[in-house]
This record gives sequence, structure tokens and C-alpha cells, in this order.
Amino acid sequence: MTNPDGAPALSAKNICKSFGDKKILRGISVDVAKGEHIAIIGPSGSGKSTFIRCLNLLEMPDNGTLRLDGQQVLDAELKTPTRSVRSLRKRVGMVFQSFNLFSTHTALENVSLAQRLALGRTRDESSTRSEELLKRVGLKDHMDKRPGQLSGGQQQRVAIARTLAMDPEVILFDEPTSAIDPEMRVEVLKVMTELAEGGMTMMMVTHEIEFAKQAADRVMFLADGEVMEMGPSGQILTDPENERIRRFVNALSGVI
Amino acid sequence: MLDPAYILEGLWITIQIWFGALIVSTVLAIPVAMLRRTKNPGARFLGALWAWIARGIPPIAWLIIIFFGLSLGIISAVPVLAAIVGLGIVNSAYLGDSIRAGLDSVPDGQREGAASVALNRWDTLFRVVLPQAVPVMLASAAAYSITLLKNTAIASIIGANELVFYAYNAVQVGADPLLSFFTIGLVYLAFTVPVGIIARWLDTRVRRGTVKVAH
Amino acid sequence: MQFVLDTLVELIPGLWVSIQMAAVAIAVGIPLGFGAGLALNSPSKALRWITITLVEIFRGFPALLTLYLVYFGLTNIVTLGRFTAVMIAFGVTTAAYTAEIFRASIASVPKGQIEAAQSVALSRGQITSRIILPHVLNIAVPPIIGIAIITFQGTALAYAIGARELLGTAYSIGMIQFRVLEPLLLAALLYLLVTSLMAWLEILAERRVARLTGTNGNRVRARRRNRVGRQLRRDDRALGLAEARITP
Repeated sequence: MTNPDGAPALSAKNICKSFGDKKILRGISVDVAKGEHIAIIGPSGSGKSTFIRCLNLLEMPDNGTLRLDGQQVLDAELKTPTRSVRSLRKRVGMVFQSFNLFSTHTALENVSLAQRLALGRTRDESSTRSEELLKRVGLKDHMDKRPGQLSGGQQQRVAIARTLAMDPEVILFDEPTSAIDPEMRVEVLKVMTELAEGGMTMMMVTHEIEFAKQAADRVMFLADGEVMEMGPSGQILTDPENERIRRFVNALSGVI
Repeated sequence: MLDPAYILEGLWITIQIWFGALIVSTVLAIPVAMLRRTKNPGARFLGALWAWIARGIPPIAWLIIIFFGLSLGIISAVPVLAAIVGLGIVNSAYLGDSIRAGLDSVPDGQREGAASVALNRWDTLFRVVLPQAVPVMLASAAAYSITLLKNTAIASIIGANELVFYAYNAVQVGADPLLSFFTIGLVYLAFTVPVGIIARWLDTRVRRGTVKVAH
Repeated sequence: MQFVLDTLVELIPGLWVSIQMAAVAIAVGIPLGFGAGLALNSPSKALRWITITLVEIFRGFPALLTLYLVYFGLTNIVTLGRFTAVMIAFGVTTAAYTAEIFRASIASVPKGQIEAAQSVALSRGQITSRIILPHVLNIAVPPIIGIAIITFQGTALAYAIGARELLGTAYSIGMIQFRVLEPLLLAALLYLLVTSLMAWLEILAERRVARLTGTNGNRVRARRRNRVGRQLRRDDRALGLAEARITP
């Protein structure tokens, strides 16, 4: 499904979302180029999580459009049917803050389940692929363990493998390291860095400033449901012009 | 059609069996719960054995054994009495657990606290322990009383002329079975639903209370 | 002594009928109960209310009455054998008792797991069968065994419509032999035996759940609670107490 005119991998226009009377997103737009990595930062309550969940339609936007590789996949006003919701999700991966592994399945089954059920791969194909991916994230010896037997860092790597198994065009990360003990974060960040270097298109909500500096091409700063600033990560994270962003970044980097 | 006057008559017998069995089970359950809370292993075994036998045998089997199998004088001769005794035995096992759970729910600190201000055993039990334990007991005892009420229907099988007995006989002489039995069912619901609501209400209150104590 | 042995041998076919009755009632009741549990978690208010009404009716009716309702009531429409009537009546009763257990277990599936399943493009049916069902089966087995015990004991009520199950067999042996008490006591002993066996299975299942879900810290407390309150909790569940709470 290559696109000759080099359309963005993911394009979101004017995404709006309210919960009851509360407006969480006030029209957010972004174009993510193929192979680009965008970090989304911002104070809590700014709508980062809601925005990234809208991109996978875990929250249905009230308004706005989504395009994947130039193809329109959602026009919120037209109420797209479920079938296309599922086909969108096959193409957009999601990694959650609390991993959300299927607790009744082993690591291997977690990775292979959707390959069989959603992509229609055979049992053999999916297991081979899953083993390969689990090796790649460094979990060769933990394939038959259940989520309860794994550390947070290990669970998150299984979750990343689960997403990779779908061969997504874009992967969304929703604070992937916030629920993990600090010493275990490194291994997850390492896997994410490798993914980024491999050319995967990624959008990540994160509080890891150092990681974002290295891995992200652009940074999107959200406040009160709007994009306050968007630009190259070096500029925004090292020397932000906006005073509010400066204070936020300094606080996260531990600079007083 | 069922005659309302007969329904009321049947209901009156049903209520007699229900309350009678409640009284019998309370009288039996208190010593059973006491036995199971002592430190003496023999006594605890006896208590557990009673509970095991009382609820391991289906209520209907209890009634048949008491009414047809044993010769307990008047008890084995009058169906209502046999039902009261049989259902009382079964419910005593459950009620014994309610009592035990209620007493267990009072933290040891409460008894120690009472001892530290020199309350005697009697005052400790009635002024400190029971006021906290009784709501817990009542919540599950109320729920068990619903099972007991439903089990009173079994008394019809040994000929106690309660609600189901009346409906069964009416059907035998030509009343519409679907309508008759359903109507009688609604009479039971008129009791089980409100008691169930009370039990759930007590249960939530007790739970909220426990949480407060725990923190 | 010979009489006791002979009676025992004669009781075995009756016991077998009781076990079969309980098995089919449970086989009918569990899928129905799971369906009701799903319906009780449904976003549709109408569906929830219809289900609540049905569950409350069959939980509030004495099982004997439901049996009469089916056996005598449905004969106007179709002729039912005793076994079929027992299957329908106790199947429905079992479903009503298990509905709450299933509702609570389904509601306890972490929302994140459903979202994760959605994010990898599983369909609703796949999410129900591959994510929700295994979770429910894991945690709901012990209380379901508790209900199965109630169902097994309930099959003795089939005696009232003249079925030749354990109690009915014991009674008729007594009538023929003019010795009523011994066969009845032997039948009671067999009920006690099967019930105890099931209760033991329930304990094993509970340990398994504790192993699968429990953390070490909770285990000691859980075991103590189990000892005191297993029976209590079992009946609480059947009655809709404890975690079983219908909130429309």
C-alpha cells in the first residue's frame, strides 16, 4: 500500500473530544511522516492520553478526521462502522501505560493470539513470529510465563512484541514507562530506541525527557486540550522559548 | 382459580413453619457456634460434625427421615412439626456460621479494650462485642432466612397444608397449573424480595462499617 | 448387615439418576447463567431489567414450585418426561443462581485487557470468548461448584414428582421391605458423600484461583477466611449477597 505522493503515515485533523460538559480536546491536528517519531508531552489533564487513545479509536472523537497513508479512515461526523474501526486497529498499534497483557494467557499466547484471530495467520506462522519477536525484546526465556510471573519491564516488552506482531504502520505509546520501576525502565526504553532506529513510525506520550531528546524528531506540547507548541525536539526540550514549557521541562529533568 | 381465602390459610401455615424453624435453628445454632469457637479440639469436631451432617443431607431427605423414618412421637405425626424440626436442623448449620462470622468480625482489640477498663465478661459481651457482632450476624441470617422460607415449600411433600400444598391440590382438581403455581410463586416473591433488599442493605452497611474500623 | 449391603446395591442406580439429573441441570444452567451474566453487564437498560426480573423470579421461587410449574404447567403445551422437567426446572434455577456469579466475574475483567484486545483488532465475539471467558472460568469455578452442590441436593426434590432418583429409590425400597429408616439413612449417607466430595473439589479450585491470582500477602488471610466462611460465601453468592449485587 505504498503511496507515491509520500502522504503522511498518520494524519489527524481537528480532533475534538468531550466527556460530558468537559472539553478534553479542542481540535488537535498533526501529520506524522513515515518513519517519524513524535513525543507528546504536557502536564496531567492536558489531554495527551485522550488524544493518543483517539488515534486508535479507543475513544471515539466527537469531531475530526483521521487518515492513514493518505486514506481516510475516520470522519467522526459520519460515524464510521465497526468494520473499518477494526481495520484501522490492525494498522495502528498501541502500547498501554499498564501493559494490559491478557492475564489468562502466557507471554507467547499474548503475542500470537491476535495474529491468528485478527490477521488469520496459522498457528505455526504466528508462533514462529511470536518467538522471534520475544527474542528480539530479550524475553527468550520467559515465553511460557504468565503476566503475573513477569516484572513490569518484562510485561511491557511482551506488550510491545504483541503490538509489533500485527505489523502496524504506526505504533502509539501511552506513557509506556510510567508504571515501571525506574531500574526496569531502561530495558523498555532500549527496545523503543531500537524500534525508532529501525524506522518505525511512532507517537509516544512520555515523561522521559532524555529519551525524548534522543529518540523523538519532533515534540508536541499539549496544554488544556490544545497544541501549545510543536517543533524539533532539540529546540523544545533543550531551550524552550515558552516560559511554561521551560518550567515543565526543567521540572521533569530535575533542574530547579 | 385459586381462592384467596385458601391462599391466606396456606400462607399462615407457611409462616408458622418459617418462624418455627427459625426459632428451632436459633436454639440449636447458638451451642453449635459456641462449640466451634472453643479451644477444645473434641468440642470443635462435634460442632463441625453437626454442621457437616445438617447441611450435607438435602432438606427434603431430612423431612422424609423425620416424618416417615423415625418415631419421634408427636413430631413424626404432625407434618408441620416435622417440617419445623427438619428445616430447623438444616438452618442451624447456616445460622451457626452466621453467628461465628459475626463474633469473628469483632477485633480482639475490642475485648482487650473492655478488659483494660475492667468490664466483666457479661458487660463485655453485651455492651461491647454483641452490639458490633449482631449486625454482621443479621445480614447473613436474613439471607439464610430466605433460603429457609423457600425450603418450607418442601413441607407440602409430607402433607403440611401450606402454600404449595394448597396449590398442588387445587391443580389436582382442575385448577390451571401454570397460573396456580405462578400465583403462589408471587406470594413467595412478596417475602423474598423485600427480605433480600433488607439483607443487602444490612450487608452494605456492615461492610462499610468494617472498612471504617479496618483503616 | 446383609440388608444394608443389599440396599446399598439397590440404591446405586438411584444415585446414578441423581447425578445425571444434576449434570444436565448444570450443563443447561451454566451457559444460561453466563448469558444472563453478560446481559447484566450490557449497556442496554431494557435488557438488564428483563434479565434482573427473570433472575429474581427464579431465584425467589422455591425450586419445588419451579419444578411443579414446569412438570404440571407445561404439560398443557408439551408432554414432558420427569427427567426433562427436572432438567428444565433445575437448569433454570441453576442459571438464576449462577447469573450473579458470572455478572460479578465478567465485571471484574480489567477494562485495560478489553482495550488491549480492541487495540489488536479482535472482534466483540473474539473478546468474549478469548479474553472474558477464560478470565471468568478462572475465577468463577469455585463458587460455581458451590452452586452445583445446591443443584445436586435439589435433585432430591424430583422425588415429589415420582422420579426414581436416590431419595425416591430409597423410599420405595423402604416401602417394599417394610423397613423405612435404614434405606433412607443410607441414601442420606450417599448424599453426604457426594456433597463432601464436591465441597473438597471446591476447596481445590479455590486454592488454584488463589495461586493464579493471589499475592503471597493475601494468601494467609484468604486461607483463614476460607476456613470460616466458605459455606457462608457460597450461600451468600447464591442469595445475591457478598459481591453478588444487582445494580441496574
